[in-house]
Amino acid sequence: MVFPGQSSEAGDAVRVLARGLTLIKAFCPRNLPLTNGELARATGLPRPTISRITATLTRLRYLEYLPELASYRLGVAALALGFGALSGLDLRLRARARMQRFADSEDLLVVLATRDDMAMVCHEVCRGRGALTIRVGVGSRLLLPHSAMGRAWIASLPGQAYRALMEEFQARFPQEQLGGVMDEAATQIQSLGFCVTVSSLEPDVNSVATPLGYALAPGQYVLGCSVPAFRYPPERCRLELGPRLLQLRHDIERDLQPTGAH
Amino acid sequence: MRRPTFHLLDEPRPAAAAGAVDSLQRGLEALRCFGPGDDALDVAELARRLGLSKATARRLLDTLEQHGFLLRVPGTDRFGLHVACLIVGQAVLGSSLLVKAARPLLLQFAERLGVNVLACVQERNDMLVLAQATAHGATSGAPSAGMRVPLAGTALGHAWLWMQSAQVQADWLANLRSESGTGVSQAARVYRAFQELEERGVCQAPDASRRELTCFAAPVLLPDGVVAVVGCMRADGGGRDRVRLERECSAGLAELASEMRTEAGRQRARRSSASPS
Repeated sequence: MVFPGQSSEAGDAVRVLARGLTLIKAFCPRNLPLTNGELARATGLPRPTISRITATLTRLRYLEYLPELASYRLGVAALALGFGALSGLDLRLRARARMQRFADSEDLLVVLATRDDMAMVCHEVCRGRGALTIRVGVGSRLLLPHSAMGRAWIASLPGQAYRALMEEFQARFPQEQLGGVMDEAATQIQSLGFCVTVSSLEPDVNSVATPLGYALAPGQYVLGCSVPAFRYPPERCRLELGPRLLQLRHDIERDLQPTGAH
Repeated sequence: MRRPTFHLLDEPRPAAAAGAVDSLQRGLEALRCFGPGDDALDVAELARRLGLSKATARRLLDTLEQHGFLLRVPGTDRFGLHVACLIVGQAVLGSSLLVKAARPLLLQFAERLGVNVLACVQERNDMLVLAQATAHGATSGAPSAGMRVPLAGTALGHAWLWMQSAQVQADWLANLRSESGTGVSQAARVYRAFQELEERGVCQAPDASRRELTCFAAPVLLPDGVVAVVGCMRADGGGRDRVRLERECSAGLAELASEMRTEAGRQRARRSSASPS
C-alpha cells in the first residue's frame, strides 16, 4: 500500500515486508513443508515473487529448504522473531501465577487468549492436577464463534465492528445459526461480566470467559476456563465459576495497573 | 530433485529492488529488538536499535502491526509484540523433531536432579532455547523456549563451540581476543571449557544472567549433523554440595545428551517413514 506523499521506493519496501510476513504466516500453524507453487496458491502472490522471498528468508535462516521434497518450512531462527520475549511479557508473568493458583484450587483449565483472524489463540494455559478438559496448550487455536473466549471477545466489540463480524460469520460459517448464541453471550457479558458456553468446543465440556482490561492492549485479551460438564453444569458455571473467574480477572487487572494507580 | 531458486538473489539487482528486499530483513529485525521485559517500545527507540530513520522505522512497524506481529499501544507511539509472533514460534516448536525428542527427557532429568534444564541450538551469536523444563520446587527463572543466551562466555556456547571445526573455533577465539578488556580472559575460559569437555563431556560456567547459578552444558550431535546443546542450572551450595552437584550434573548431562541423540534419530526415522516418497 502506498500512502499519499510516500515515495514509490518506500512503497516497494513496505510491500516486500508485507509479502514476506504473509508468506511466513502461510506455514502456520503446523509448519508443513510447502513448495513455491503451494506457497503461491496459499498466499495469492505471483510465483517469481514467492521465489525471491523464499530465497531471502532462507538466506536469513527463517526458512529452511528441504531438497528431498523441494519444499520450504520455517527454520528454528523464526523462533527468535519475538516468541521468547512474548513469554516474558509483564501481562503473562503477572497473570501466570494467579492463573495457576486458580487452576489448582478449582481443578480446571484456565486460559489467557487473544484473537487472530477467526480463532482465539492461547497465550497462557494453566491446568489443575486432575483437570479433565479440552486438549489445549500455548498456541492452540479455538474457533472464534465456538469458544466462550471468542464469544466474550466478540461481545465486547463496539456496535459497528460487532455487526461487521457477524456478517463475516454468515459468509465463513454459512451452515451455522450463530446469531442467537452470540446475542446471548453479549447479554451475559453486559449483565454478568462473563459468558457461559455449554459443550460448544467439545461434548461434555463447559466454559466461562470474560474480557480482560489491559491498558497496553485494550480489547485484546480474554480470560477463560473450561470444566467437565458433570462437575460444573451450566447453572453452577453461572452461579459459582463465573463470579470466581471475575475475581481472578480483577486480581490480574489490579496487578497490571502501574505502581501508584491502586 | 529441484534446487532452490537462489540465483534470483545472486543476480545484480537495481538499487530500489535491493532496498525492498532489505526492508524484509529490517522489518523482521524489528521483532528481534524486543527482549524479555520489553512490553512496549516507542518508535524512536526501535529506530535507534535498528539504525534507521524514524520515518523508515515507522513504515516497517506499521506493516508489522497490520499483519498482527506488533500491537500499537492506543494513543501512543509505542508498539508491543503481538499474536503472530506467538503463532509463528509455536509452529516452529510444534514441528521440531528436537523439541519432540527433548521434552520428555528434559522433564525426567529436571525432576530427577531438581534442576532447570534446557535444550538449545546456535543462532547467530546466541544459543536459542528450544525446550526447557523446571523441577517442581526448583528456583525458576531459567530461559524459556525462544529466549536467547549469549554464545560468548557461557557454558552453552562453549559446548557448542567445542563441536565446531578448527576454523570456526579459531574465528570465534580471534573475535574474543580482539574484544577490549575481557577478550583474553574469555579465550582462557573457552580453553578451560574445552579441557573439561575433553575429560568429562561436560563443561561448566556461572549462569549468564544469574551469577549465583552454575550452568553445566553438554553438546549433542544430532543425526542430521546439527549440534544442539543441553544445559542445566542449579544454585551452587559450595563445599561438598558443589562436588556432589558437579558429579551428578556431569554424569546426568552426558547421559541425557546420548539419550537425546538416540531419540532424535528415532523421531527422524518415524517422520521419514510417515512422509510420502
